[in-house]
Amino acid sequence: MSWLHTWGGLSVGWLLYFMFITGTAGYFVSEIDYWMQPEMPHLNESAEHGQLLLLAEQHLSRKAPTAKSWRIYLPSERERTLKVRWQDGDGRHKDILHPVSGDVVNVRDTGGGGQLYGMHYRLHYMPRTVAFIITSLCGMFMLIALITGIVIHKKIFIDFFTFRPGKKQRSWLDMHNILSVLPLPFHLMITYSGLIFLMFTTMPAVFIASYGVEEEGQQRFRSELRSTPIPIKATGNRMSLTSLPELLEKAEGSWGQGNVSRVSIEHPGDSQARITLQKRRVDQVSDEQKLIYHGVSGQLLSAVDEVGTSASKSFYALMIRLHIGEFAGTVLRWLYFLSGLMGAGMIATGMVLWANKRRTKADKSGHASKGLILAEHLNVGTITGLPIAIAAYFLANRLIPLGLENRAEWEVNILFITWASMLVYPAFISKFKQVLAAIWVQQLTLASMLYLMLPVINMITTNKHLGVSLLTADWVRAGFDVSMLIIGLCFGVAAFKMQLKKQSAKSQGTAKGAQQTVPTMLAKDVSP
Amino acid sequence: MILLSFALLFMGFAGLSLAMKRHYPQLQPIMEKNSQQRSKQVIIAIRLLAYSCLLTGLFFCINSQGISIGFVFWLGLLTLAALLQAMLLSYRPRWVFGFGLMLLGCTLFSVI
Repeated sequence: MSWLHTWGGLSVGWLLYFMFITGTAGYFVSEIDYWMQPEMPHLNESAEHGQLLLLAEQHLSRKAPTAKSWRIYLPSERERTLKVRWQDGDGRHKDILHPVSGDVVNVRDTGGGGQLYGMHYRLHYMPRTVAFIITSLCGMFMLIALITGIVIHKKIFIDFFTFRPGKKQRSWLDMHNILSVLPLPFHLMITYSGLIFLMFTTMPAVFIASYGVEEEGQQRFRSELRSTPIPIKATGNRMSLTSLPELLEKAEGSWGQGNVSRVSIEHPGDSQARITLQKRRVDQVSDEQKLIYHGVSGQLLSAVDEVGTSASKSFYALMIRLHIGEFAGTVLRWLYFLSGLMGAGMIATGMVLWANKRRTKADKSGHASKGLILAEHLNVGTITGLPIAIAAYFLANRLIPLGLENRAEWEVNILFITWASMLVYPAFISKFKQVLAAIWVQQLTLASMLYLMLPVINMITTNKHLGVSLLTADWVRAGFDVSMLIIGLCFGVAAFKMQLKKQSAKSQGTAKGAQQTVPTMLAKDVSP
Repeated sequence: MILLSFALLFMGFAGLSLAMKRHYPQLQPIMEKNSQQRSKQVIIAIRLLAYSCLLTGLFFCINSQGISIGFVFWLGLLTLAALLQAMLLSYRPRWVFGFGLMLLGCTLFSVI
């Protein structure tokens, strides 16, 4: 069991760390989007929803009269703009509209928070299916590591609150335990539901057995899974759409004012057009309701009410929604974020524990294996390198010229280039294990500087900086900048403390002191 | 309501650690000096009280957030409360009860 925990965890640990960090950032996806689009106005008001639907419809019929489908996203507490998406022969498109005037808001080309968060399951630079299989495998290893971890941790309750700082390996194990045990319900939920999320990619045989491999059966499966009716075919007869505000009024009559989140229109302008209104899901963890109308006559075709329809589907939906945490308000969102960070910390401490244990042995025998050196390099290059890369991603958002082609893609390229250089850099420098501690200090310092720089660069490049956002009560942007400052300070404190430990180890002058490895130093610095 | 439930959870965990062999000496200076040996009954009583604090916390979460979100909220708050408790025990054990009382005070204040 112990063996399985150690090696299962180690083999995919760095990728899992990446998944946990980017996934955790996803709990603030809208907030990050908003910060990464400084052109977006700070909005407190919006027109009536019926009015907004008219504005959106006008815009769409001007811009995409022959699209296959339209989608209109009505403003909510978190996303205050009116968003429209449409799909035509060239693919998918998106516009952001001002929720009062209906004018297009021109924002910079950016991947935003969605890109950052999407990487935690679709990775990057590879086809989706491949990425899904890789992340699913990681998820399975994670689940195994969690369960074996519970089994081999003999004193869960006795050690529940135990953290003994300054005791080298002991401290790391304590911290690893605390970060694993305290948010254990979250860890199990997020890992299991993550696997459930991708189960149709990883275990296609199960549904193929009942629905067959042909496209028709697949379509029926998807339609039943998502409670969406089977797609219709356009007839080609042009007829004008029924009044959207009227449908909205009908739906709000049964769901309550402002409770329609999305209106989708299939084949707008066709005589067989179909309109789906979706209920906003904020009040419950598990429930999905839709009203489907005929697009020309406005007749109700069907009402989808997922509540209690099928036990397995409800469970699936529950898992998905628990994973995404869309229902969470501000406080719960921060709690989710905290648990996610603790998960990343659990993985990081686990990796450091592994390397630290072997380093102690290697120092005694005077021979360090290649695997150990590799793990030490990957540790420093990922545990501090990835946060550096994410800071670089945010900086790239502000610094890449606005007119650059494929700008959004370059933001991501910069993230990965930075991470890769953080990974490769220690390989060139650290010929001696003594230097490793210095590399930790350097990278922690770099991370600290980059995060502290973010609000400053924001101030230079935009007019949505702290000075403005605080005065105009633009709390989301201000919150982002302040969070970056806090993260920067944390990295700064870590770098400073590690520098102190490094110096004290040196000044002891003994061979033992000089050889003291990074993890033992860091152990004392996990908290002030 | 969330603050109240958080205060209850924190006090619950404080109680649980008070009933533990390892943490009792850390918290002891603020308890009676001569109560070195605690009887089994006292420990059980503290534990019961602590667990009922945790459950009351759950009640208030569900009461204010509905059953599904309330339960998720409770688990999230449990994590935060236990983390705080662990860090205080490691670095500032004497602050534990002061902190708990402060939380309860804040709750009272926000209610008024």
